[in-house]
Amino acid sequence: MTRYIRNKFIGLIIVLIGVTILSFIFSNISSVDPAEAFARRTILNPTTEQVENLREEMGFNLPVHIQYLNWLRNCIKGDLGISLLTKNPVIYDISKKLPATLSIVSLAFLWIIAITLPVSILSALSKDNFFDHIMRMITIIGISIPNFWLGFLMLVVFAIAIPIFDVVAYGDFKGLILPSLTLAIPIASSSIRLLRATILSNMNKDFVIYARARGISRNNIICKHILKNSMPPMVTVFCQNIGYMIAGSAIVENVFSWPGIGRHLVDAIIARDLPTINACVLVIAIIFVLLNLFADVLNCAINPKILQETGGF
Amino acid sequence: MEKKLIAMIFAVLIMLSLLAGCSRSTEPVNNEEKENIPNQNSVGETEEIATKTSEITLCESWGFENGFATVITPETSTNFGLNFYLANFYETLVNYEDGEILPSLAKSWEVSEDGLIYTFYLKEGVKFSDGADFNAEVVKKNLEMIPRLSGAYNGSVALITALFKEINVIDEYTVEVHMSSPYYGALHDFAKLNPMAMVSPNAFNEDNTLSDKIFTNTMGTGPYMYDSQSDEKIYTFISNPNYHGGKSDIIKFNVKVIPDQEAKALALRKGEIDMIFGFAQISYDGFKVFSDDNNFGTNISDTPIRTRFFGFNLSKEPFNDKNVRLAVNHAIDKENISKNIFYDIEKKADTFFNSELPYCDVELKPYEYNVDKAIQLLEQSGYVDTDGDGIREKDGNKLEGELLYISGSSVTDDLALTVKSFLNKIGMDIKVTGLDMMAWYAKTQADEFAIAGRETYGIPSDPFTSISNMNTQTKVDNILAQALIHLEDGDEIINKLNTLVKENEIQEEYDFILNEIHSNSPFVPISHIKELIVYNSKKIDAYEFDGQPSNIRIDFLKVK
Repeated sequence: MTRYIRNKFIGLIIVLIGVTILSFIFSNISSVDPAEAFARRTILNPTTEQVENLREEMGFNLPVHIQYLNWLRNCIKGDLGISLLTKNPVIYDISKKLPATLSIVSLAFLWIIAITLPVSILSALSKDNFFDHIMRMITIIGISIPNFWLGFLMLVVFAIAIPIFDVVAYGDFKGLILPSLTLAIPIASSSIRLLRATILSNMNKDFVIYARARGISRNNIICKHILKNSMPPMVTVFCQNIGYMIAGSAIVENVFSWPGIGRHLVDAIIARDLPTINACVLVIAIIFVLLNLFADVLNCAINPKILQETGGF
Repeated sequence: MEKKLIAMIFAVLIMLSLLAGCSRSTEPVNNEEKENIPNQNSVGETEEIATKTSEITLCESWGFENGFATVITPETSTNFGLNFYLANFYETLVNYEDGEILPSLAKSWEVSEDGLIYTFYLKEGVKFSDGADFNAEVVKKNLEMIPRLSGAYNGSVALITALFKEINVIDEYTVEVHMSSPYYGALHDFAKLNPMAMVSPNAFNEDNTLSDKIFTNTMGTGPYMYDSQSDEKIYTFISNPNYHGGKSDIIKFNVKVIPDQEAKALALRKGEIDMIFGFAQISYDGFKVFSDDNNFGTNISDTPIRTRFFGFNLSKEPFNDKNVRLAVNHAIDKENISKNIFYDIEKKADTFFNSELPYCDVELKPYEYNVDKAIQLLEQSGYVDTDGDGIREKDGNKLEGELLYISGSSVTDDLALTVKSFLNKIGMDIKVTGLDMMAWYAKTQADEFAIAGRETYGIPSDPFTSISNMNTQTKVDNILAQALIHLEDGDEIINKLNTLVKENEIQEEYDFILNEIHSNSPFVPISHIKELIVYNSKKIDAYEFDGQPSNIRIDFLKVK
C-alpha cells in the first residue's frame, strides 16, 4: 500500500509540473501583453515607453523558459509572486478566497451524495416505471441546464418570489445553500444516470444470482453486494467532480456574489494577472490530483483486488 | 477499520472546509489604525450619528482594497473604479460643469496673459476630514506631490502635472502655479479628481511618499469619509464632520460588492441595496423594466458622458478609401439603433464630440441615413458585385473587413451585429469579433483591425485628452491616431493647439480639426452615452447628477 501511494505521488508531481508548464505556455501564447494589460487597467493612455518599463520591471521581457524556472524556484521557496491585480502576495489572496470556494464545494458534494445514492437505487429498482421515467426527465434537464441560469432561477424563486434567502448572502451557512445546490444539481444529475446504469449492469452479474440462491434478502443484496461493486467508478467520479467544481465555480460565485477562487481566477485571466493565474492553476491542480489519489486509495480500501492487479503489494 | 478511518477523515475534512468558509465576523476591520489618525472621529461620535441618520446601500463590482489614493496609476493602485467615488471624499481647486469651470476649493482664480501663471484664491476655514487645515501650503504640498506620485505616468492622466515648474505660496490663502508651457486645457485638468484632488498633508510621509494611512482612510475635504469594512465585503462611509458645505440627507452609506449585473438588479428588487448607479452596472433591458415599475425611480443624466463610435483603420483596404468610410456613415440607421438597442437612453450621435463639450459647438452637416447614397459612393470607388454573391468587389478584392469590439455586454453584441446587417445591405461583408478588453487593446494597438467599436474617454478628458491622443507620435491610442493621419501636419496642429492661449485661436483650431475629422470620416459616431441611476423610490426621492455625471454623488440624493 505504501509503495502504491509513493508511486502515485511521484506520478502526481510529474502531472503538476506538466500542468504548470502548460499554464505558462498558454499564458504566453495569448496575444495580450500582461504589462500593457496592467498599464491600461489603471491608466487611460500609457505610452509605449511606460509599458516597456513595466514589462522589464515585472520580468515579462525574459524568455518563457527562464520565466518558468524563476517561478518554479520561487514556488519551491513558497513564494508564488505578487498579484498584478491586487498587489498582494498571491498566496495571501488565494488563502482568503479558497475557503469560500471550498465551503460551497463541500456542501455541494454532500448534496451530490445525498441526492445521487437514494435516487439512483430507486431508479434502478423501478427500472422503466413511472419514477424512473420522471427521474430520467429531471436528470436530463439537470444535466442540460446552464449553471448561471439555474443560479438566477434559484434567486428569482427563493430570494424574490418566496423570500427565504438573500440575493447577496456571503458569510453565513444559509447563504451557502443556494450556490451549493446550483453547483450540485448538474453533477448529481449526471451521477444519478451513471450510478443507475452501473447498478443495473451489476444486477445481472453472477454474484447477484448466487446471492439470491443463498437466500440473501433483496435489500442486503442491493446494499452489500450491488452497491459495493458499483462504488469504485462512482468514487473516482465523485472525487474528480470536486476538482471540477472548484475549477468551475466561477459562474456560481459570480451569480451569488461569493468571493471565491473561481471568480478570482477569471478576474485574473481577464486582467492577464499571470502570477495569480499560474498560482491558481497550481493550487487547483494540487487539489485535483490529491483527490484523485484519495479516490484511488479509497477504491483500494473498498476493493483490495485493485492493489493485486497493479502490483501494489 | 481502514475504511472507517478514511471515511471519518473525509467527513472531518468536509466539515472543516464548511466551517472555514462560514466563519463570520461583524467586527469592522482597521479600527486600530484609525485610532492613530489625529483628530479622527471617535467611535462614540460615529455611533451617535448613525442612530439619527438616513443610511443607504449601493453596489459596486469591486472592493476598495487598494485604498483611497487620489493619484491612480499602476504604481499606486490597480483599480481605476475608485475614480467614480472620489467626489464623495475629495475636492479639487475648481469644478467642471456643463462645459464651464466653476469655483470649488478655490473661490476664484486668475490666469496670466501668457498662460504660464495660474493664481488661485482659496476658500477660508476649510478643514480636511482628519482635522488638518486647508491652506496655500497644503495646496503647494499637494501640487508638488502629485507629479512625484504619478512617477513614470506623470502627465498621462492630466497633462498639466508634467508642466508644473514652480508652486509659490503668496499668502495663507493664495497660491501661484508657474507652468513651463501654456496648456489650454489646464483648468479642466485642475478639475480632475484623479490626480488633482486635494488631500490632507497627513497623507504624506516626511520623505515625500504616500502614507499607508491612505489605504484605510479618505483624507479629503469632501462630504464623506471612510468608516469601516466588514468581512462580508461591505464598505461603510459616514459624513465628514468637518465638511464646509451644506448638510446632505444621507449621512451614512454602504457599498456592497456584487459583481454580476443581474444579481445587482435582483438585490435592488429584494431591497438589499437601495440604488444602482452607472450605465455599466445595469443592462438597458433591466433599466427599462425598473423605469416601468412604480416602486423604483430612475434618472438619466442630461449631459452625455461619452460618444460610442466605430473607428476605421485608414492604412488598410478597403477603409483607406474615403468613399467607403462615407458609405458606412450613410448606411447605418442610427435612429433605429438608438430606439431598438438603446431604448432611446443613448441618443444618436451626428458628430464625434457632443456639441455641449468645450469648443465642440461647431456647425457640421450630419450624414443622413441613405442607403442609395451609400451604394452610389461605393460604385464611385469602383466597388460592384460582379459575381452575384451580394458582396461587392474591386480588382478582385472583396469589400470586407473585421469589426472588433469589446464583448461582455448585450448592448455591444447587438450593436455589432446590427451594424454588420446594415453594411451587408450595401454589399459589404463584415466579420464581427467580440474580444475581452485586453485582447481588444492588443489587436487595435498592433494595427490588426479594419473597424473597431469603442467609446471616447468621457468628461472631463473629452475633448482635451482625446484630441491630444490623436497625435500619431505618442502611440498612445491607435484608433484616435487615425483622426488626422491624412494630414501631413496633423501632429503639428495638435501640438500647436495644446500651447494656444487665446480663446478665439483655440476655437479656430477646433473648427478646423473637427471639420477635418467630420469630412474625412475616420470614425462613425453612433450615439452619445448618458449616465443612469435606478433607486428604490420608497427610500430615495430624487437624484441630481454631478457636472461630471459619472461621479457618484451620495450628497446629491434626496431621501423621502
